[in-house]
Amino acid sequence: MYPSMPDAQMAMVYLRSSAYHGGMSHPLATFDPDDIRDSSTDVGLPGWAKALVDRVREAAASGQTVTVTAEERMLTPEQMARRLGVHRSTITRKILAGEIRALKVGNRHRVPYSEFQRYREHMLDRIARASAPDVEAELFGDQ
Amino acid sequence: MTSDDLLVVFLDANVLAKPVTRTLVLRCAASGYTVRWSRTAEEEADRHLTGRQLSIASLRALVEIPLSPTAADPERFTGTSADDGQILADAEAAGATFVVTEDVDDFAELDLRTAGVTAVNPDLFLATRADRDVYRRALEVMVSGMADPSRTPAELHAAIARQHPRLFQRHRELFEVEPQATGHRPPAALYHGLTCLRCLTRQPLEAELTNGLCPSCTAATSPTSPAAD
Repeated sequence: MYPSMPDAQMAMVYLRSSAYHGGMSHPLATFDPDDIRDSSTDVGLPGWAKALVDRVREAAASGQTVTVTAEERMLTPEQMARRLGVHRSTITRKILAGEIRALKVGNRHRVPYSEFQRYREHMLDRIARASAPDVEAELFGDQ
Repeated sequence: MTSDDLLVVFLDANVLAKPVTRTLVLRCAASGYTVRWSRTAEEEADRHLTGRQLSIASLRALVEIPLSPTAADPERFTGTSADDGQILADAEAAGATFVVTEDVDDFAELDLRTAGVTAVNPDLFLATRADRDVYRRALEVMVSGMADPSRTPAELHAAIARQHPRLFQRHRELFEVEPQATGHRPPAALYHGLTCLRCLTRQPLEAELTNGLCPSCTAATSPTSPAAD
């Protein structure tokens, strides 16, 4: 079993590599919290972990060191909209209305990944609650 | 799959028209995928709903989800019927990796390959992609919205087994309940396409996949695999 990451570590995981003498490092791979949350017990190595192992192996084979760090990921309104399947203008409007908490970086909005997850839960819960009477009728209607 | 590579899943009309299946696929999107559908799928689904059921258009409006584009050239999919060809073309236009459909066999293998889309049965899709905690949350929320306050997530889980036996088995350990017997005939096909449902790598041949999984993912999920625990 692969343990779930605690909420405090629900953050973007960056995997960086650097050549021994080069000093410069660059991102090898990034993983969203959603990618690394799967804690199912009946499967093998999750896809994100396979990707991580592959990247580490490639870096090591070319003589690079690898560092894994975790930090809160920020999304642009466009990135958040794509993930939710909605228009960017919808996200911007909800930020301005205070329904989505965002930070200002210069004159641009950035949404913490934890806030994206909170809003997504809210949105998906609304769908499930609205459909619940039809689900009940479909499964229990003949009782 | 890392960073901004989004897994887009397109819903066929026959999935949208079934409240249980539709709600599970939509609510379990928190497992890390985005759901889209087109006007073609929505209008077809709405035609099959009864008058008392919530329309798909109303549901979409509730959370301000726009329709995905309607493709203009479905006739190039010559091995698939005109209606299903439009669904396949719309799925391709939406950038979907999978089209979730009750009728996997309706999509010709060559057309799926041309579109770069894989057709998958909803039960197999959910059993592979829906995380345990997300599925549990879906059950809790659905129960909270039901008219009968005595309903429980465990009862709902058991009833879902009638339509989604693989999903039930995947998350069997969540509740100590027995599955309700399915009254449905097993689908003729669960999967058509080249993309592994789990790791999303494309295989050269569909024959490489077992229940939608590539050889590597199949080996990892084998009961004899050390990684399976």
